[in-house]
Amino acid sequence: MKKNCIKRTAAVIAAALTIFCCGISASAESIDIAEVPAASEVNNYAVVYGYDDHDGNYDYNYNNDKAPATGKSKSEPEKKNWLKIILIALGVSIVGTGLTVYFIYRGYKYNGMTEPYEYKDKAPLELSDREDVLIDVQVTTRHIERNNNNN
Amino acid sequence: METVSYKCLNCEAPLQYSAKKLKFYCEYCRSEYTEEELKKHFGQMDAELNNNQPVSEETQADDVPEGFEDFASGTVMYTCQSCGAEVITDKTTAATFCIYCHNPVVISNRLTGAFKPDKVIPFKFTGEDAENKFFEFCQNKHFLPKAFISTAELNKIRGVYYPYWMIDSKKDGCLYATAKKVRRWTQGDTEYTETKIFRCKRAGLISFKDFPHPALRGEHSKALKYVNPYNSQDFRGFTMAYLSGFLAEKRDTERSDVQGEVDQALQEYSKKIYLDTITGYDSVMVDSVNVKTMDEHWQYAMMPVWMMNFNYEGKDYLYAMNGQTGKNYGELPLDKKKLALFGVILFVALLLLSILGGFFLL
Repeated sequence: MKKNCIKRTAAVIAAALTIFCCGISASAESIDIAEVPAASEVNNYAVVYGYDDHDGNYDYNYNNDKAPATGKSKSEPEKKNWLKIILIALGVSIVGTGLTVYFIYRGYKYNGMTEPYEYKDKAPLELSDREDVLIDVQVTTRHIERNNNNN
Repeated sequence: METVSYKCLNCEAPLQYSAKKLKFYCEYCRSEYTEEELKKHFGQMDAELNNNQPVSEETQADDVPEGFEDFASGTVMYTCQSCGAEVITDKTTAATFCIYCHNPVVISNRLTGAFKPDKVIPFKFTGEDAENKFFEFCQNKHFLPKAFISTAELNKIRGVYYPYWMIDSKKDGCLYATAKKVRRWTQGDTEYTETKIFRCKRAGLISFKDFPHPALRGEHSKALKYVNPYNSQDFRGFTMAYLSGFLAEKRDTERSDVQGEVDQALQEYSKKIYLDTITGYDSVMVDSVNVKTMDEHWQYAMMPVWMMNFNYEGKDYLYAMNGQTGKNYGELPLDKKKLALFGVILFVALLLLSILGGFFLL
Protein backbone atom coordinates (compact mmCIF):
# COMPACT_ATOMS: atom_id res chain seq x y z
CA MET A 1 0.00 0.00 0.00
CA LYS A 2 2.82 2.38 0.96
CA LYS A 3 4.63 1.62 -2.26
CA ASN A 4 1.52 2.40 -4.28
CA CYS A 5 1.11 5.71 -2.47
CA ILE A 6 4.72 6.57 -3.23
CA LYS A 7 4.26 5.69 -6.89
CA ARG A 8 1.10 7.74 -7.14
CA THR A 9 2.68 10.68 -5.37
CA ALA A 10 5.70 10.42 -7.65
CA ALA A 11 3.44 10.47 -10.69
CA VAL A 12 1.59 13.54 -9.43
CA ILE A 13 4.85 15.30 -8.61
CA ALA A 14 6.20 14.40 -12.06
CA ALA A 15 3.11 15.88 -13.68
CA ALA A 16 3.27 19.01 -11.52
CA LEU A 17 6.97 19.45 -12.24
CA THR A 18 6.27 18.99 -15.92
CA ILE A 19 3.71 21.80 -15.87
CA PHE A 20 5.94 23.99 -13.76
CA CYS A 21 8.98 23.44 -16.00
CA CYS A 22 6.91 24.04 -19.07
CA GLY A 23 5.58 27.31 -17.67
CA ILE A 24 9.06 28.43 -16.67
CA SER A 25 10.62 27.50 -20.00
CA ALA A 26 7.82 29.09 -21.95
CA SER A 27 7.96 32.26 -19.90
CA ALA A 28 11.75 32.35 -20.15
CA GLU A 29 11.47 32.08 -23.89
CA SER A 30 8.95 34.88 -24.01
CA ILE A 31 10.97 37.16 -21.73
CA ASP A 32 14.14 36.56 -23.71
CA ILE A 33 12.68 37.52 -26.99
CA ALA A 34 9.67 39.70 -26.36
CA GLU A 35 10.55 41.90 -23.40
CA VAL A 36 14.25 42.57 -23.66
CA PRO A 37 14.56 45.32 -26.22
CA ALA A 38 16.84 44.74 -29.12
CA ALA A 39 20.10 46.70 -29.31
CA SER A 40 18.76 48.79 -32.14
CA GLU A 41 15.72 49.69 -30.02
CA VAL A 42 17.91 50.77 -27.11
CA ASN A 43 19.89 52.98 -29.39
CA ASN A 44 16.78 54.45 -30.84
CA TYR A 45 15.38 55.31 -27.43
CA ALA A 46 18.71 56.47 -26.00
CA VAL A 47 20.63 59.66 -26.24
CA VAL A 48 19.17 62.34 -28.33
CA TYR A 49 21.39 65.26 -27.35
CA GLY A 50 24.81 65.17 -25.75
CA TYR A 51 27.01 68.09 -24.85
CA ASP A 52 30.17 68.89 -22.97
CA ASP A 53 29.52 70.92 -19.81
CA HIS A 54 33.08 72.33 -19.95
CA ASP A 55 34.16 70.38 -16.84
CA GLY A 56 35.22 67.44 -18.91
CA ASN A 57 31.86 65.70 -18.31
CA TYR A 58 29.15 64.96 -20.72
CA ASP A 59 25.49 65.64 -19.97
CA TYR A 60 22.68 63.99 -21.81
CA ASN A 61 19.15 65.02 -22.58
CA TYR A 62 16.58 62.43 -23.39
CA ASN A 63 13.61 62.93 -25.56
CA ASN A 64 11.50 59.90 -26.05
CA ASP A 65 9.14 61.73 -28.36
CA LYS A 66 11.87 61.87 -30.88
CA ALA A 67 12.51 58.17 -30.90
CA PRO A 68 12.07 56.83 -34.38
CA ALA A 69 8.95 54.83 -35.10
CA THR A 70 10.85 52.36 -37.20
CA GLY A 71 11.90 50.06 -34.28
CA LYS A 72 10.63 46.46 -33.82
CA SER A 73 6.99 46.30 -32.88
CA LYS A 74 6.18 44.03 -29.84
CA SER A 75 3.59 41.90 -31.62
CA GLU A 76 6.09 40.48 -34.09
CA PRO A 77 8.24 38.40 -31.68
CA GLU A 78 5.10 37.14 -29.85
CA LYS A 79 3.92 35.44 -33.00
CA LYS A 80 7.22 33.59 -33.29
CA ASN A 81 7.10 32.56 -29.60
CA TRP A 82 3.79 30.77 -29.96
CA LEU A 83 5.37 28.15 -32.14
CA LYS A 84 8.17 27.60 -29.64
CA ILE A 85 5.78 27.48 -26.68
CA ILE A 86 3.63 24.88 -28.44
CA LEU A 87 6.65 22.79 -29.38
CA ILE A 88 8.01 22.85 -25.84
CA ALA A 89 4.57 22.09 -24.39
CA LEU A 90 4.19 19.21 -26.82
CA GLY A 91 7.53 17.70 -25.85
CA VAL A 92 6.92 18.09 -22.15
CA SER A 93 3.41 16.61 -22.45
CA ILE A 94 4.71 13.56 -24.28
CA VAL A 95 7.40 12.96 -21.66
CA GLY A 96 5.01 13.60 -18.75
CA THR A 97 2.32 11.30 -20.15
CA GLY A 98 4.85 8.61 -21.04
CA LEU A 99 6.36 8.59 -17.57
CA THR A 100 2.99 8.51 -15.83
CA VAL A 101 1.69 5.66 -18.00
CA TYR A 102 4.95 3.75 -17.49
CA PHE A 103 4.72 4.04 -13.70
CA ILE A 104 1.12 2.83 -13.75
CA TYR A 105 2.01 -0.12 -15.99
CA ARG A 106 4.96 -1.00 -13.75
CA GLY A 107 2.74 -0.85 -10.66
CA TYR A 108 0.40 -3.45 -12.16
CA LYS A 109 3.08 -5.66 -13.65
CA TYR A 110 5.25 -5.87 -10.53
CA ASN A 111 2.55 -5.51 -7.89
CA GLY A 112 3.81 -6.66 -4.50
CA MET A 113 7.44 -7.26 -5.45
CA THR A 114 8.89 -5.94 -2.23
CA GLU A 115 11.63 -7.16 0.09
CA PRO A 116 10.59 -10.69 1.10
CA TYR A 117 12.82 -10.87 4.19
CA GLU A 118 12.96 -8.29 6.97
CA TYR A 119 16.69 -8.64 7.45
CA LYS A 120 16.92 -5.52 9.63
CA ASP A 121 14.73 -7.16 12.26
CA LYS A 122 15.53 -10.82 11.78
CA ALA A 123 19.26 -10.79 11.10
CA PRO A 124 21.19 -8.94 13.82
CA LEU A 125 24.86 -8.19 13.24
CA GLU A 126 27.53 -8.41 15.93
CA LEU A 127 30.41 -6.36 14.56
CA SER A 128 33.82 -7.67 15.57
CA ASP A 129 35.94 -5.39 13.40
CA ARG A 130 35.29 -1.96 12.00
CA GLU A 131 37.91 0.08 10.16
CA ASP A 132 37.72 3.24 8.08
CA VAL A 133 41.20 4.18 6.85
CA LEU A 134 41.92 7.27 4.78
CA ILE A 135 44.06 6.08 1.92
CA ASP A 136 44.07 9.01 -0.50
CA VAL A 137 43.05 12.64 -0.92
CA GLN A 138 42.59 14.08 -4.38
CA VAL A 139 42.04 17.76 -5.04
CA THR A 140 40.99 18.98 -8.45
CA THR A 141 40.52 22.59 -9.48
CA ARG A 142 38.37 24.23 -12.09
CA HIS A 143 38.70 27.78 -13.30
CA ILE A 144 35.37 29.59 -13.24
CA GLU A 145 34.79 31.75 -16.29
CA ARG A 146 33.44 35.14 -15.26
CA ASN A 147 31.62 37.29 -17.75
CA ASN A 148 32.82 40.87 -17.18
CA ASN A 149 31.09 42.27 -20.22
CA ASN A 150 28.30 44.42 -18.77
CA ASN A 151 26.66 44.89 -22.14
CA MET B 1 -3.52 -43.78 -0.69
CA GLU B 2 -4.08 -43.20 3.05
CA THR B 3 -6.19 -40.25 4.05
CA VAL B 4 -7.28 -38.80 7.35
CA SER B 5 -10.37 -36.82 8.18
CA TYR B 6 -10.85 -35.09 11.53
CA LYS B 7 -14.42 -35.66 12.62
CA CYS B 8 -16.60 -33.90 15.14
CA LEU B 9 -16.70 -35.66 18.50
CA ASN B 10 -20.43 -35.03 18.74
CA CYS B 11 -21.85 -35.69 15.28
CA GLU B 12 -19.01 -37.27 13.25
CA ALA B 13 -19.21 -34.50 10.64
CA PRO B 14 -15.87 -33.21 9.29
CA LEU B 15 -14.07 -30.59 11.37
CA GLN B 16 -12.47 -27.50 9.92
CA TYR B 17 -10.06 -24.93 11.32
CA SER B 18 -11.68 -21.52 11.72
CA ALA B 19 -9.33 -18.62 11.13
CA LYS B 20 -11.88 -16.30 12.70
CA LYS B 21 -12.35 -18.21 15.97
CA LEU B 22 -8.85 -19.68 15.94
CA LYS B 23 -10.49 -23.01 16.88
CA PHE B 24 -11.62 -26.16 15.16
CA TYR B 25 -15.34 -26.19 14.52
CA CYS B 26 -18.10 -28.35 13.11
CA GLU B 27 -20.31 -26.52 10.67
CA TYR B 28 -23.17 -29.00 11.23
CA CYS B 29 -23.60 -29.04 15.04
CA ARG B 30 -21.49 -25.88 15.64
CA SER B 31 -19.24 -27.54 18.17
CA GLU B 32 -15.89 -25.90 18.76
CA TYR B 33 -12.63 -27.48 19.90
CA THR B 34 -9.27 -26.13 20.92
CA GLU B 35 -6.02 -27.65 19.73
CA GLU B 36 -5.52 -29.29 23.15
CA GLU B 37 -8.96 -30.89 23.07
CA LEU B 38 -8.32 -32.33 19.63
CA LYS B 39 -4.92 -33.62 20.68
CA LYS B 40 -6.55 -35.61 23.49
CA HIS B 41 -8.72 -37.47 20.99
CA PHE B 42 -6.57 -37.56 17.86
CA GLY B 43 -3.12 -37.40 19.45
CA GLN B 44 -2.54 -41.11 19.29
CA MET B 45 -3.74 -41.32 15.70
CA ASP B 46 -1.46 -38.40 14.75
CA ALA B 47 1.51 -40.02 16.48
CA GLU B 48 0.93 -43.28 14.63
CA LEU B 49 0.60 -41.47 11.33
CA ASN B 50 3.76 -39.48 11.97
CA ASN B 51 5.71 -42.65 12.62
CA ASN B 52 4.64 -44.09 9.30
CA GLN B 53 7.15 -43.78 6.51
CA PRO B 54 5.79 -42.27 3.32
CA VAL B 55 4.86 -45.05 0.94
CA SER B 56 5.73 -45.06 -2.70
CA GLU B 57 3.09 -43.30 -4.71
CA GLU B 58 4.10 -44.78 -8.01
CA THR B 59 1.07 -45.98 -9.88
CA GLN B 60 1.40 -49.58 -10.95
CA ALA B 61 2.08 -49.79 -14.66
CA ASP B 62 -0.47 -52.59 -15.00
CA ASP B 63 -3.23 -50.31 -13.73
CA VAL B 64 -2.64 -47.59 -16.28
CA PRO B 65 -4.56 -47.76 -19.55
CA GLU B 66 -2.56 -47.33 -22.72
CA GLY B 67 -2.02 -43.70 -23.67
CA PHE B 68 -2.50 -42.41 -20.09
CA GLU B 69 1.06 -43.02 -18.84
CA ASP B 70 1.98 -39.31 -18.67
CA PHE B 71 -1.24 -38.47 -16.86
CA ALA B 72 -0.77 -41.32 -14.39
CA SER B 73 2.82 -40.37 -13.63
CA GLY B 74 1.71 -36.95 -12.34
CA THR B 75 -1.37 -38.01 -10.38
CA VAL B 76 -2.31 -40.14 -7.40
CA MET B 77 -5.64 -41.68 -6.45
CA TYR B 78 -7.10 -41.64 -2.94
CA THR B 79 -10.32 -42.83 -1.37
CA CYS B 80 -12.54 -40.35 0.47
CA GLN B 81 -13.27 -41.60 3.98
CA SER B 82 -16.66 -39.92 4.08
CA CYS B 83 -18.25 -41.09 0.84
CA GLY B 84 -15.85 -43.74 -0.42
CA ALA B 85 -15.35 -42.06 -3.78
CA GLU B 86 -12.02 -42.47 -5.55
CA VAL B 87 -10.51 -39.09 -6.23
CA ILE B 88 -7.41 -38.12 -8.19
CA THR B 89 -4.95 -35.47 -7.03
CA ASP B 90 -1.57 -34.35 -8.29
CA LYS B 91 1.61 -35.56 -6.62
CA THR B 92 2.17 -32.59 -4.32
CA THR B 93 -1.35 -32.15 -2.92
CA ALA B 94 -1.39 -32.80 0.84
CA ALA B 95 -4.86 -31.57 1.75
CA THR B 96 -7.89 -31.02 -0.40
CA PHE B 97 -11.66 -31.49 -0.61
CA CYS B 98 -13.45 -34.51 -1.98
CA ILE B 99 -14.93 -33.32 -5.24
CA TYR B 100 -18.07 -35.44 -4.64
CA CYS B 101 -19.03 -34.81 -1.00
CA HIS B 102 -16.86 -31.66 -0.47
CA ASN B 103 -15.58 -32.95 2.84
CA PRO B 104 -12.04 -31.90 3.77
CA VAL B 105 -9.45 -34.62 3.34
CA VAL B 106 -5.81 -34.69 4.49
CA ILE B 107 -3.62 -37.12 2.59
CA SER B 108 -1.62 -38.28 5.56
CA ASN B 109 1.10 -40.19 3.70
CA ARG B 110 2.42 -36.97 2.29
CA LEU B 111 2.97 -35.32 5.64
CA THR B 112 4.63 -38.09 7.60
CA GLY B 113 8.16 -39.28 8.22
CA ALA B 114 10.69 -37.03 6.48
CA PHE B 115 7.84 -35.06 4.96
CA LYS B 116 6.30 -34.10 8.29
CA PRO B 117 6.44 -30.32 8.64
CA ASP B 118 8.05 -29.01 11.82
CA LYS B 119 5.79 -26.01 12.22
CA VAL B 120 2.84 -24.20 10.79
CA ILE B 121 1.35 -20.72 10.82
CA PRO B 122 -2.46 -21.08 10.83
CA PHE B 123 -4.63 -18.79 8.72
CA LYS B 124 -5.24 -15.54 10.60
CA PHE B 125 -8.26 -14.36 8.65
CA THR B 126 -11.13 -16.01 6.82
CA GLY B 127 -11.87 -16.19 3.10
CA GLU B 128 -14.46 -13.46 3.63
CA ASP B 129 -11.85 -11.19 5.20
CA ALA B 130 -9.54 -11.98 2.29
CA GLU B 131 -12.28 -10.88 -0.13
CA ASN B 132 -12.76 -7.63 1.78
CA LYS B 133 -9.04 -6.97 1.77
CA PHE B 134 -8.99 -7.71 -1.93
CA PHE B 135 -11.85 -5.25 -2.59
CA GLU B 136 -10.10 -2.63 -0.50
CA PHE B 137 -6.96 -3.18 -2.51
CA CYS B 138 -8.84 -3.01 -5.83
CA GLN B 139 -10.54 0.26 -4.92
CA ASN B 140 -7.28 2.05 -5.49
CA LYS B 141 -6.61 0.28 -8.77
CA HIS B 142 -8.54 2.23 -11.36
CA PHE B 143 -7.21 0.38 -14.38
CA LEU B 144 -8.36 -3.11 -13.41
CA PRO B 145 -10.86 -4.77 -15.77
CA LYS B 146 -14.34 -4.86 -14.26
CA ALA B 147 -14.51 -8.65 -14.52
CA PHE B 148 -11.47 -8.99 -12.27
CA ILE B 149 -13.28 -7.61 -9.24
CA SER B 150 -16.61 -9.26 -9.86
CA THR B 151 -17.87 -11.60 -7.15
CA ALA B 152 -17.88 -14.54 -9.52
CA GLU B 153 -14.14 -14.26 -10.00
CA LEU B 154 -13.51 -13.70 -6.31
CA ASN B 155 -15.10 -17.05 -5.56
CA LYS B 156 -11.97 -18.56 -6.99
CA ILE B 157 -9.99 -17.50 -3.92
CA ARG B 158 -8.75 -20.58 -2.08
CA GLY B 159 -6.83 -20.97 1.14
CA VAL B 160 -3.69 -23.03 0.58
CA TYR B 161 -0.91 -24.09 2.93
CA TYR B 162 2.37 -23.94 1.05
CA PRO B 163 5.63 -25.62 2.04
CA TYR B 164 8.67 -23.53 2.95
CA TRP B 165 12.12 -24.19 4.20
CA MET B 166 12.79 -21.97 7.22
CA ILE B 167 16.48 -21.47 7.78
CA ASP B 168 18.33 -20.26 10.85
CA SER B 169 21.90 -19.55 9.83
CA LYS B 170 24.92 -17.98 11.49
CA LYS B 171 27.29 -16.38 9.02
CA ASP B 172 30.70 -15.06 9.88
CA GLY B 173 32.10 -12.76 7.27
CA CYS B 174 33.95 -9.69 6.20
CA LEU B 175 33.29 -6.93 3.71
CA TYR B 176 35.82 -4.56 2.14
CA ALA B 177 34.63 -1.41 0.43
CA THR B 178 35.97 1.84 -0.97
CA ALA B 179 34.10 4.90 0.22
CA LYS B 180 34.38 8.48 -0.99
CA LYS B 181 33.68 11.78 0.69
CA VAL B 182 33.54 14.80 -1.59
CA ARG B 183 33.85 18.47 -0.52
CA ARG B 184 33.61 21.48 -2.84
CA TRP B 185 34.47 25.12 -2.23
CA THR B 186 35.29 28.22 -4.25
CA GLN B 187 38.13 30.64 -3.81
CA GLY B 188 38.35 33.54 -6.24
CA ASP B 189 37.90 32.24 -9.74
CA THR B 190 38.74 28.67 -8.79
CA GLU B 191 36.44 25.89 -7.71
CA TYR B 192 38.15 23.19 -5.63
CA THR B 193 36.92 19.61 -5.34
CA GLU B 194 38.45 17.47 -2.63
CA THR B 195 37.81 13.74 -2.74
CA LYS B 196 38.82 11.72 0.30
CA ILE B 197 39.06 8.01 -0.34
CA PHE B 198 38.62 5.56 2.52
CA ARG B 199 39.20 1.85 2.76
CA CYS B 200 36.39 0.40 4.89
CA LYS B 201 36.31 -2.99 6.54
CA ARG B 202 33.39 -4.55 8.38
CA ALA B 203 33.57 -7.96 9.96
CA GLY B 204 31.19 -9.76 12.26
CA LEU B 205 28.64 -12.44 12.91
CA ILE B 206 25.19 -12.27 11.34
CA SER B 207 22.45 -14.46 12.82
CA PHE B 208 19.72 -15.03 10.24
CA LYS B 209 16.49 -16.13 11.86
CA ASP B 210 13.62 -17.80 9.98
CA PHE B 211 14.84 -17.06 6.48
CA PRO B 212 12.07 -18.41 4.20
CA HIS B 213 12.67 -20.30 0.98
CA PRO B 214 9.82 -21.90 -1.01
CA ALA B 215 10.05 -25.68 -0.93
CA LEU B 216 7.87 -26.07 -3.99
CA ARG B 217 9.08 -25.56 -7.51
CA GLY B 218 6.99 -24.51 -10.46
CA GLU B 219 4.79 -21.63 -11.42
CA HIS B 220 3.92 -20.64 -7.85
CA SER B 221 7.45 -20.33 -6.51
CA LYS B 222 7.76 -16.62 -7.36
CA ALA B 223 4.44 -15.82 -5.70
CA LEU B 224 5.54 -17.81 -2.66
CA LYS B 225 8.67 -15.72 -2.43
CA TYR B 226 6.93 -12.35 -2.57
CA VAL B 227 4.01 -13.02 -0.20
CA ASN B 228 6.67 -13.00 2.49
CA PRO B 229 7.44 -11.82 5.12
CA TYR B 230 5.53 -13.76 7.78
CA ASN B 231 5.59 -12.95 11.44
CA SER B 232 7.49 -15.75 13.22
CA GLN B 233 5.61 -15.19 16.48
CA ASP B 234 2.64 -17.17 15.18
CA PHE B 235 4.51 -20.40 14.49
CA ARG B 236 2.99 -23.48 16.11
CA GLY B 237 3.99 -27.10 16.22
CA PHE B 238 2.56 -28.90 13.20
CA THR B 239 -0.53 -31.03 13.42
CA MET B 240 -2.48 -32.21 10.39
CA ALA B 241 -5.71 -30.88 11.86
CA TYR B 242 -4.72 -27.32 10.86
CA LEU B 243 -4.92 -28.34 7.22
CA SER B 244 -8.49 -29.56 7.52
CA GLY B 245 -10.74 -27.29 5.49
CA PHE B 246 -7.93 -25.87 3.38
CA LEU B 247 -5.84 -27.02 0.48
CA ALA B 248 -2.21 -27.93 1.11
CA GLU B 249 0.84 -28.80 -0.94
CA LYS B 250 3.78 -30.92 0.16
CA ARG B 251 7.36 -29.99 -0.60
CA ASP B 252 8.98 -31.31 -3.75
CA THR B 253 12.53 -30.21 -3.01
CA GLU B 254 15.23 -31.53 -0.71
CA ARG B 255 17.62 -29.33 1.20
CA SER B 256 20.43 -30.19 -1.21
CA ASP B 257 18.33 -28.98 -4.16
CA VAL B 258 18.02 -25.44 -2.84
CA GLN B 259 21.16 -25.06 -0.71
CA GLY B 260 22.95 -23.12 -3.47
CA GLU B 261 20.07 -20.67 -3.92
CA VAL B 262 19.80 -20.11 -0.17
CA ASP B 263 23.56 -19.53 0.21
CA GLN B 264 23.49 -16.99 -2.61
CA ALA B 265 20.49 -15.16 -1.13
CA LEU B 266 22.05 -15.05 2.34
CA GLN B 267 25.32 -13.77 0.88
CA GLU B 268 23.41 -10.92 -0.78
CA TYR B 269 21.65 -10.09 2.50
CA SER B 270 24.98 -10.23 4.35
CA LYS B 271 26.35 -7.69 1.90
CA LYS B 272 23.39 -5.38 2.54
CA ILE B 273 23.72 -5.75 6.31
CA TYR B 274 27.45 -4.93 6.31
CA LEU B 275 26.87 -2.03 3.89
CA ASP B 276 24.21 -0.53 6.18
CA THR B 277 26.93 0.07 8.76
CA ILE B 278 29.07 2.16 6.38
CA THR B 279 27.52 5.57 6.71
CA GLY B 280 28.54 9.21 6.32
CA TYR B 281 30.02 8.87 2.84
CA ASP B 282 28.91 10.21 -0.53
CA SER B 283 29.48 6.90 -2.30
CA VAL B 284 30.40 3.36 -1.29
CA MET B 285 31.62 0.65 -3.64
CA VAL B 286 31.96 -2.95 -2.48
CA ASP B 287 35.34 -4.49 -3.28
CA SER B 288 34.81 -7.93 -1.81
CA VAL B 289 32.61 -9.85 0.57
CA ASN B 290 33.39 -13.20 2.12
CA VAL B 291 30.90 -15.10 4.21
CA LYS B 292 31.15 -18.55 5.72
CA THR B 293 28.52 -20.58 7.49
CA MET B 294 29.19 -21.27 11.16
CA ASP B 295 25.94 -23.01 12.00
CA GLU B 296 22.75 -23.75 10.10
CA HIS B 297 19.42 -25.26 11.01
CA TRP B 298 16.69 -26.06 8.49
CA GLN B 299 13.05 -26.60 9.28
CA TYR B 300 10.10 -27.48 7.13
CA ALA B 301 7.04 -25.25 7.62
CA MET B 302 3.60 -24.77 6.16
CA MET B 303 2.51 -21.18 5.54
CA PRO B 304 -0.99 -19.87 4.75
CA VAL B 305 -1.68 -18.18 1.41
CA TRP B 306 -4.95 -17.10 -0.18
CA MET B 307 -4.59 -17.82 -3.89
CA MET B 308 -6.59 -16.70 -6.87
CA ASN B 309 -6.21 -17.68 -10.49
CA PHE B 310 -7.69 -15.38 -13.05
CA ASN B 311 -7.90 -15.53 -16.79
CA TYR B 312 -8.16 -12.28 -18.69
CA GLU B 313 -7.88 -11.95 -22.46
CA GLY B 314 -6.41 -15.44 -22.74
CA LYS B 315 -3.68 -14.85 -20.17
CA ASP B 316 -3.54 -16.52 -16.75
CA TYR B 317 -2.92 -14.31 -13.76
CA LEU B 318 -1.98 -15.52 -10.32
CA TYR B 319 -2.81 -13.44 -7.29
CA ALA B 320 -1.55 -14.38 -3.84
CA MET B 321 -2.29 -12.94 -0.41
CA ASN B 322 -0.33 -13.72 2.72
CA GLY B 323 -2.79 -15.58 4.98
CA GLN B 324 -1.26 -14.07 8.10
CA THR B 325 -0.43 -10.44 7.27
CA GLY B 326 -2.58 -9.78 4.18
CA LYS B 327 0.38 -8.70 2.05
CA ASN B 328 -0.40 -9.34 -1.60
CA TYR B 329 1.56 -10.23 -4.69
CA GLY B 330 0.65 -10.85 -8.29
CA GLU B 331 0.69 -9.29 -11.68
CA LEU B 332 -2.61 -7.52 -12.15
CA PRO B 333 -4.45 -7.37 -15.46
CA LEU B 334 -4.48 -3.92 -16.94
CA ASP B 335 -7.42 -2.54 -18.87
CA LYS B 336 -5.46 -1.16 -21.80
CA LYS B 337 -8.38 0.81 -23.17
CA LYS B 338 -8.82 2.63 -19.86
CA LEU B 339 -5.11 3.32 -19.68
CA ALA B 340 -5.01 4.59 -23.28
CA LEU B 341 -7.96 6.89 -22.61
CA PHE B 342 -6.31 8.16 -19.44
CA GLY B 343 -3.09 8.74 -21.42
CA VAL B 344 -4.89 10.78 -24.05
CA ILE B 345 -6.75 12.88 -21.45
CA LEU B 346 -3.56 13.44 -19.47
CA PHE B 347 -1.67 14.38 -22.61
CA VAL B 348 -4.28 16.94 -23.68
CA ALA B 349 -4.53 18.35 -20.14
CA LEU B 350 -0.76 18.66 -19.85
CA LEU B 351 -0.53 20.27 -23.26
CA LEU B 352 -3.21 22.84 -22.48
CA LEU B 353 -1.82 23.59 -19.03
CA SER B 354 1.68 23.97 -20.43
CA ILE B 355 0.51 26.34 -23.12
CA LEU B 356 -1.58 28.31 -20.63
CA GLY B 357 1.35 28.41 -18.23
CA GLY B 358 3.53 29.85 -20.95
CA PHE B 359 0.84 32.29 -22.07
CA PHE B 360 0.09 33.77 -18.64
CA LEU B 361 3.71 34.18 -17.72
CA LEU B 362 4.32 36.27 -20.83
